[in-house]
Formats: sequence, C-alpha cells, structure tokens
Amino acid sequence: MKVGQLSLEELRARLGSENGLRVKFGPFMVRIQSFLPSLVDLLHRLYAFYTLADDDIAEFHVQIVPKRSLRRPFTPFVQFLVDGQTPFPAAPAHQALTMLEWGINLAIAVRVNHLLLFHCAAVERNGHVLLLPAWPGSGKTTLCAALIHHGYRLFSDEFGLMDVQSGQFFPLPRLMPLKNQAIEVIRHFLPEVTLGPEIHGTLKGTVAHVRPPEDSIGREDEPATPRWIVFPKWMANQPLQLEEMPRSEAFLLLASNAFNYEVLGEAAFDAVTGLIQRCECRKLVYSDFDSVLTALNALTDD
Amino acid sequence: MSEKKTQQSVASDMEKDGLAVASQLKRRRLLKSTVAIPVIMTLHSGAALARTSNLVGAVVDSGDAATVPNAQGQAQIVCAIPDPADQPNAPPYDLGMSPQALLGPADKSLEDQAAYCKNVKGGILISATAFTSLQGKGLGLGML
Amino acid sequence: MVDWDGEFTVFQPAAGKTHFLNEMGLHILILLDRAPTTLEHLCQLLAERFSLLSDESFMQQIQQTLHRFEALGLVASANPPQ
Repeated sequence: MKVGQLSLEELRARLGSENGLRVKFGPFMVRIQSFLPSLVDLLHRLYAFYTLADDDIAEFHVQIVPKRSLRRPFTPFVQFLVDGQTPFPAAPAHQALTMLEWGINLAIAVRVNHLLLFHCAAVERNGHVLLLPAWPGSGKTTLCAALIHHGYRLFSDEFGLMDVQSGQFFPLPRLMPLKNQAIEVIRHFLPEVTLGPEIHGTLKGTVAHVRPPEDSIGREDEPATPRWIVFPKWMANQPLQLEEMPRSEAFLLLASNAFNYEVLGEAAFDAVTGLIQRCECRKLVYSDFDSVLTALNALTDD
Repeated sequence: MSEKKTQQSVASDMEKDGLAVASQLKRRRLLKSTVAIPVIMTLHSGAALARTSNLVGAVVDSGDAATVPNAQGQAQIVCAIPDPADQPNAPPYDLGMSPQALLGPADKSLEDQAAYCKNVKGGILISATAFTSLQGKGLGLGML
Repeated sequence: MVDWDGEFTVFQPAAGKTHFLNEMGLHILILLDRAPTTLEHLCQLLAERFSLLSDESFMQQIQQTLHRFEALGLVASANPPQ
C-alpha cells in the first residue's frame, strides 16, 4: 500500500499515533511522528508513491514536534528529533518539511555503516549507474532532476549507497531539494514536475522539493552496477566539455567525498579501487540542459 | 550559542565537504607535477568531518561550538581532546579510539570556556553535528 | 597498493589511512622495505633510479620525506635517538 492511498484523515491519525507513519525509503524504514497539521497535506502529496512499511522494523524514528522559542515567543517553531535526539536546532514551523527531509538524510549519513556512502547523485540508464559526485558548483541536484525526467531512473540526488562486497549501488529515491534560482530553472525546463511549496528563510535560502517519478520510487528495490562517474560543474555560458579524468584524481575526489570511508577502512579502499577501475571517469562542464542531456545520453548509450 | 550559527555549522557541512575536496584537488596537482621529489598526500575525507569516524574539524568561534545545557539550563561548552595531543597534520583532528570530551564550567562565559579549553587543556571546539555523531560512538564526557 | 598510471594509492592498515604517492615516494618505501639503509645511500639509489643529482638540496628533500613517513608510521628509524 502506498502513502497516497491513505485518506488525509488516516494519514493524520498515523502521524499522530504511537506507531507513527512508517515509510519505506529505498533500503530504510523510517517511522515518522508529528501532530503538525501542515505536514499532513504535504506528505500526502509528496510521499504519495512511497510504500507503507507497517510490518517492518524501523531503522530511524523521527519526529517533528512543536518547540517554543524564548527569543521569538509568538512564532511557532518546530524541532526535529531522531531517536529522541536533536541533531540541529529548532526552526520556524513553515520549514517543517525541509527539517524532516534534511534530518532523515542526516540520520542516514551519520548512522549507516553497512554500506559505503558517497556524497553524490546517482541515476540509472540502460541497467547501469551513473554517479555524479558532489563538489562545489556541481549543481548535482538540479542536473539530477533534469535527468530523471528524461529517461534516467533516480537512485538518489544525495547518496551513492554501495555494497562493498558486490559493488552494486542501491536506490534511495527521496524528495529532491532545489534551492533558490534552481527552482525556477526546473519549473521552466520541466513544467510537468511535481514540486512542493517554496520554503523561504532556510539556511540554504529558498527550497522546494521535487517529487521523484513514480517509476523511480516503484523500482527502489532494484540495485544496479556502476559504469560511469562524471564530475559535473555548471558554469554559465560555457561550451559543453566532457573529457576523461585521470583515475587517480577520480579516486581522490570520490573517496574524499565518502561519508564513511575511514570507518570502513580497507574494505572502503578496495571498494573505491574496484569502482574506479570498472568505471569510465569524466569531468563535465555544462551550462544548459539540452547539451548536457545529449552528451550524457551518448555516454550512457549501450 | 546562537541557533542560527549552530544551524549554519550543521548546514554548511555539505558545502565544507566540497571545499575540502577542492583544496585536496589543488594539492593533488602538486602530486602530479613534481617528479623530481617524493610526494605523499594523505586522504582526508571531508565528509567524515560530519561523520561517525573519530576525525573531527575544529570550530574557531565559540558561538559555533557544541554546548550541553546543565540542569539549570546553562550552556557548557564541549571541549574535545585530540589523541594524540600532537597532531601536526591536523585538521582534521583525530580523537583516538576512545574519544573524550570535557564540559566547560557553566558559570563562565562561552568565550572563557572556549579559551580554557584551547589554551589550558589543549582541546578543540567541535560543531554540534560532530558532537552528535561522536555521542553515537560512545564519546566519554567529563568536566573541565 | 594500486598503480594508477604511475601514481599510487596505498592503504595503511595500522592507521587506517589512505595515501597517494608519486613514483619516487613509493620507491622510497620499496627500498626501505627491502633493507634498512642510510640517508646517503638512499639518496644515491634514488638519484640513480630517477637520473637526478644527489646534491644537498635533494638530500634535504629526502630527509623531510622520511620524517613525514616516520610521522605517518610508514617507516621507522633503525637507530632512534636515546
């Protein structure tokens, strides 16, 4: 059963219950609890395609709870909790969705050690995974949003989840937070996309979440092997460049950007080594979606 | 500690990861261009600064540092102790296999607590995110 | 140890660290792994291998590198100061 098949009242009841709303995100089960009315409508729409996980044990128990601010006593604030802990301070209630999404991401980034976690976007085409590591100016989430509406399946805009034994990547298709100017860019380029509300005043500016396509979420249990690693960089008005990257450089950048590389030790070293040896490594400079789609399609064609 | 500053330290981790990678890339070019001298570069995972490894980055401003409220709600600064004490290649700082931190005296200002941590105890201030992840790894807490 | 077209990644299990070395850096470790040697002899071997002049400046570079390697736990002095 999917979240969207619940009525609003049922969803509200589950969120407010001790059992919580239990949702499957890729390999993770999350229990969400909140009495915040505004979250009900938002989650009903944006989480519509996610599977309810009533019978599964939740890895993460998260809550959005009201919090009074001494400095701003008349502004409703909310706090994110994961397993009873508050990893970051309270924020105005209208930011609840960003806190929930951000908090779940943080919990995954901080706690998961059975998989090697890369800080990158990952999409699948023709049965193989294309990794887009995060680095300054990459615009990976915006690029990812464009790709997944042009024939690519979303694995994640934030995490590359790699099984170090098999070398396969696992999907974690979650809401994709666009920031500031990227919101309008995607609205213009993809008028059909489902966007959450614009949430102003966050630490990253204005954020709006893209709901992943139903197909991406429906196939969240289908892993795939990696085949391409492309380090993207958006630069205004620059002609497209897609060139080979030395593998030692790719190793450095990818390993540096892994959340738990040191924790996994030699297993991580071997896994990244195998990954780099197996994949084509490229540097990409782009300034518009049409040309980058053409280039990446050519790269990932069979 | 201001809420905004703490949020900033948490929120900017992803951006800091990118900056750490960019600075490593600069050093990486040195590796390539110098054939005539030996070069070694040790990988430091930028993202590990927000992770559960016992490597942490130090925050400079006491306003950005993790604090713990005492029973009276007064803020005690978290002073993490590098292990070993001498770490010429830091940051990031290694807190060793059994990370330890000390809590500052709540009756002192955050600035005084921070100064005592750094100058007397040889400790470092850490972000709220690093503190959270270290707690998950059994961070030992004592009093300054 | 992995060779990436003449640059090398090495995992150091004792410290859990990953190092990147150029060819000369790796060669130092290989030579010292075979047998302990003096700074002078090491410089001579390296100079021959890489067609360089083993002058004062070169010896200082190698000495600095050895200190760095020692700090990382990759090499140890055979005659540590008493």
